[in-house]
Amino acid sequence: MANHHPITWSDPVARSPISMPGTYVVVDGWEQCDLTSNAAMTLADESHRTKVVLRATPNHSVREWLPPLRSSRYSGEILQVGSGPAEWYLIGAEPPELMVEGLPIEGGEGFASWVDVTHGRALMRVTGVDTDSMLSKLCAVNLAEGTTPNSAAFRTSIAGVTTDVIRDDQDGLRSYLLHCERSSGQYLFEALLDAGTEFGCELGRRVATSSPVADSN
Amino acid sequence: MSKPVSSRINSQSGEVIDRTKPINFTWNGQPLTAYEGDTIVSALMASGVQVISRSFKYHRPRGVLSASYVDPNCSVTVSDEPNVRGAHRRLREGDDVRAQNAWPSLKLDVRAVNQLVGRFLGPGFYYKTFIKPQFLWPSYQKVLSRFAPGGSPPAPGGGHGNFDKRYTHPDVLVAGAGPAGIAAAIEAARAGVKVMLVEEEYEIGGHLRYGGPEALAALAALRAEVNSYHNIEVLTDSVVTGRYDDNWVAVVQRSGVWSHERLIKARVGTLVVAPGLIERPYVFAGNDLPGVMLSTAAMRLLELHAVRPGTRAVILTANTSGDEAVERLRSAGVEIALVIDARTGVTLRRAIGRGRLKAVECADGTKIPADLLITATGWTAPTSLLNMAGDRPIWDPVAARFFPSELIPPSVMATGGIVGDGTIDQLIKHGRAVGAEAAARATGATPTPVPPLTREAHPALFHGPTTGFLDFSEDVKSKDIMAAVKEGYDSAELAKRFTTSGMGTSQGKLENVNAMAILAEATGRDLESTGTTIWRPPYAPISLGALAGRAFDPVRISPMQPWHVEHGAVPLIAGQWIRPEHYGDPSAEAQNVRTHVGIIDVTPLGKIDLQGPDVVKLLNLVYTNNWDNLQIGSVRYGVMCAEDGVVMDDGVTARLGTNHYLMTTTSSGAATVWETLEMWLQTSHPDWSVNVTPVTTAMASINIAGPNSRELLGRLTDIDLSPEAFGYMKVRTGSIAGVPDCVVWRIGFTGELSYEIHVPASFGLHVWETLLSVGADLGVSPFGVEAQRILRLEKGHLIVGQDTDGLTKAYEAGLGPLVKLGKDDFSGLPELRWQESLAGAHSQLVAIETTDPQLVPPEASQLVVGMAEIVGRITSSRMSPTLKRSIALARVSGELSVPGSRLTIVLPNGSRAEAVVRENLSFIDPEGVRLHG
Repeated sequence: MANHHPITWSDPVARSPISMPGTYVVVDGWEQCDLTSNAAMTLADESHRTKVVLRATPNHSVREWLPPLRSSRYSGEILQVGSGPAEWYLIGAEPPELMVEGLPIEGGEGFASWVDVTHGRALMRVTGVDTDSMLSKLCAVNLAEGTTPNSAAFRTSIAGVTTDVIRDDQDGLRSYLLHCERSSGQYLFEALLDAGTEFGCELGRRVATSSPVADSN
Repeated sequence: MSKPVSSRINSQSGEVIDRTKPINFTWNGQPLTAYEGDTIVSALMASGVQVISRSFKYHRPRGVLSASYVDPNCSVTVSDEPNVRGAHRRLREGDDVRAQNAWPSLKLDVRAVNQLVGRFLGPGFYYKTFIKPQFLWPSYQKVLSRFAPGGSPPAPGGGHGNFDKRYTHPDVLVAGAGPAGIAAAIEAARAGVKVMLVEEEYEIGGHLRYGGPEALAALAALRAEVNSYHNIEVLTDSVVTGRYDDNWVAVVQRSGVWSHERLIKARVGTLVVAPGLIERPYVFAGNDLPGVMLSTAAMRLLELHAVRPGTRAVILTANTSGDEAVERLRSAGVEIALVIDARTGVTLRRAIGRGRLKAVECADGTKIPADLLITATGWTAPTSLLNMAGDRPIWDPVAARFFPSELIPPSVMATGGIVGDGTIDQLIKHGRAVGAEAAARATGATPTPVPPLTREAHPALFHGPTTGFLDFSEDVKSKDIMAAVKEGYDSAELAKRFTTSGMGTSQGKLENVNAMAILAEATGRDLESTGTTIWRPPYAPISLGALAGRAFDPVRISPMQPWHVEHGAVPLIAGQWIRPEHYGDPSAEAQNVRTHVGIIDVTPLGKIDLQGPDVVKLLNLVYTNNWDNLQIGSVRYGVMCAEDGVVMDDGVTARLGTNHYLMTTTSSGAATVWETLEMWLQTSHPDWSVNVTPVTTAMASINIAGPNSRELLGRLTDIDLSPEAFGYMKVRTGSIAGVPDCVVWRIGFTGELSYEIHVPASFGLHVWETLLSVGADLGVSPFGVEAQRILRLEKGHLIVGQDTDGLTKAYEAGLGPLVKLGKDDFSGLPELRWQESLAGAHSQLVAIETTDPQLVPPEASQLVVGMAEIVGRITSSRMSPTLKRSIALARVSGELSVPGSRLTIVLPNGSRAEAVVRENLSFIDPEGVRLHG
């Protein structure tokens, strides 16, 4: 039975789990807030980024292509993150199929697989010299340079929400990417903003950054 | 009433007040002015106010004693905040300051009558007086509570704003910012480590702040050094309240603009304890009169706040602090009537006055008129943090104070007055050495001892020839300790508890050593063998708000939640999830599903992506039924049991590809099931190739239910929905409303033809709104969780956790057909084999109908036989809008589960109702015609 029906509907628009004041525009099918800021601390919604979680058994060769646990590195414009034991996140702008293209997932010993979790994770970025102080109000992990330097990655509780944290400095400025499961995204975002008030945190993308997974579009 | 005379003097070089910024405040309703930087007490004394409070038990007028945070006589109420430390808290514009513990007024406090009966209010008074008869205790309690000291708590709902929490990991934390503490912080920072410097006062400096020109010059140099290090974080108006295992250190940060109080949890490499010394009061008759104060109090008032504490002074001095006070007071225009040098063995007899000091009686009986009596008779080492680190301080009779022992762990060090004496330079030098060593230890170096400071001799002075107040906070007198000893309470810990000495607002910081000295005398021992009580956290008071900190209470919402809110949904809090319970009329919502079509947001349903060649093995292990032959494109219902056979969760799992499955769980069981899967894979079967990925919120889930559901969904999808192409318990993937990669399965919790769609979550709202817009002619409307509960109950579908409990095994839940005992293994198999062997001799889940169709027995109502034999309970009950009668599921004992059995329900009001067991769990469509349509 064919289900074609003359009824039409509007083009699908992907919506972030995070809503914030400001004007929204649709970019590449995603509704995005156009707020920008160059305040001492900025908090931006990056949920529209493609997010892929990849898992591989201990004997699988794809592991050699990926960063060790609790660290991250860029492969081209894709941020690869060793998020958990035998678990990696890939964050970027390409469709998920392209994100994993080139990785030896198929074949060989063991088993590896990936899942597109773009729509299942809220992703936000907080940038500024005091971001470690701000996060220390919500999280017990030592954010000192010696313990969690740039490119460090870890999973912890932020304001009571299980959150993946990646230190991803922007133009020499301390910056963290944080992602959690989508349904808690709004809560976490508001908790970060509240904690950041003391440090002059403003909402919006920073306008001048050079990192591939940056606040700017 | 005569106007008080101002005691403000000319500008002092170390003063912290800003004379260009006047502050208006009120004291017991009387308008007064002060300057920014004034404490409440310095402002009051500058305005000529000498009596700040009334004492705890005898309601004696009290004035400044130490002019510091621990001053026991200066607690006041500011606006609606009680028990504010008035000698510490800085005034703010418009503060409404009031005395507490006085009625009807501070000047005329009728409870001062307690002084007349004071001889009957000695230690143990409460224990002895009110112990019998016991039945009168509630009455005693009501009366006694009226005499409770302190201010009144804020009105409910008042409170004082935000409380905050913070974590930090300094390599070195220095507790106390006197000269040695500052120097330690500087030197540690010089070594490149992260340093936190914590100071209870509003500025760093300790006694240098009021120590004269040389001290101020040294402080200026130290401050400049501190400012030059970016790796020193300075916290003022903050205090280290406790040191716990592994150098976990609690710091309370007060008076921040961001919060009322903040608790800082610091994991410290090396803790440097540098609290300085606390000046010890002297015990003699009249020592609590306003006008009697410590030498450091006088210098604080003079040097920091430019307040003259009196006009004619007598000074009892045994050390340089007292000697300096003489000179400073003289310079400030205070007439020095007499200096008694206690080092020569001379002392005073009593302070004389009524309501305030009028004269001082010397040991020879001479009476010297004075309104100010300064004592400088010794020091107490605040060893609290060292105690918490395992140290047991030792009394040094030569220096007349306690010193740390050798029990301090390597991760804790001490500097400054707590470990010795010296000039400013010597203290700074020691602090620098300790700081450098602390930094080295924090970075893993082998501990190296730091040469100690010297100890100066000091006369051991505790009391004069007369008795006086020992504990100003609790109104404990020196003779109370004597009485305690006579009653057998002759150890430090027992005497403390019997007399309550050291249990008031000062927490022993001022009175503990005196108490132990008097106890030693009373017991004929020396102080060294008497020892002291053990200081435990917290060192300083901490509010319950700060302990609670910021309230983290995460909530979870679906992508459609904004729509639900906008359309008046009544929220249901289900764990962390906020869900729409209904949109106004759940009964109508349920009926619409039966007659037309409804959509419900079921995003919280647990969803787990399973990939790998061994997924089937995992499914066979966790589910009771068989998964060997599930075809691609099919869905199967399964029940999970724990290893004791108790039903843990249920749900359907679809096979999307050769090695790709999508499992659903109950909403509340999502995390547990995920953990269970990982537990099995990581502990018992690490050799299995299965990748488990929770995707609950990656997909927005919508159930489309009702006779028009096929027509509605068909308008939006490219999937062939015909019964032949897409039958019951099948799964398909395709696009919906233009959104690709959607998963659709045909299942029916409501008992109606229905489709459960899972769409990429970011498009959830788009699909939800599109379903409603294109289905208006089909009668589509949303329905909430309550309507879903009604519908599933009509169909007789159980809910795990609602119709089962923590003891319900699979057979008891009517799930026997799903238990495949022939499988090699699965979780709960041995227990279920045993239960199956009972052949039905266990409770059963049944559907029941009440004899009165309009009576809905509340859930959890008990089912009984005879008068009281409990044989089961109602697990679910509702009024069915379809059947227009009440329906219910119940757990009953095996013999009563036979269809037609009559049951008696005990209702909450004690009345009873009759019900009959039905043939089938389904109240509607038992053949499944609607479901399979």
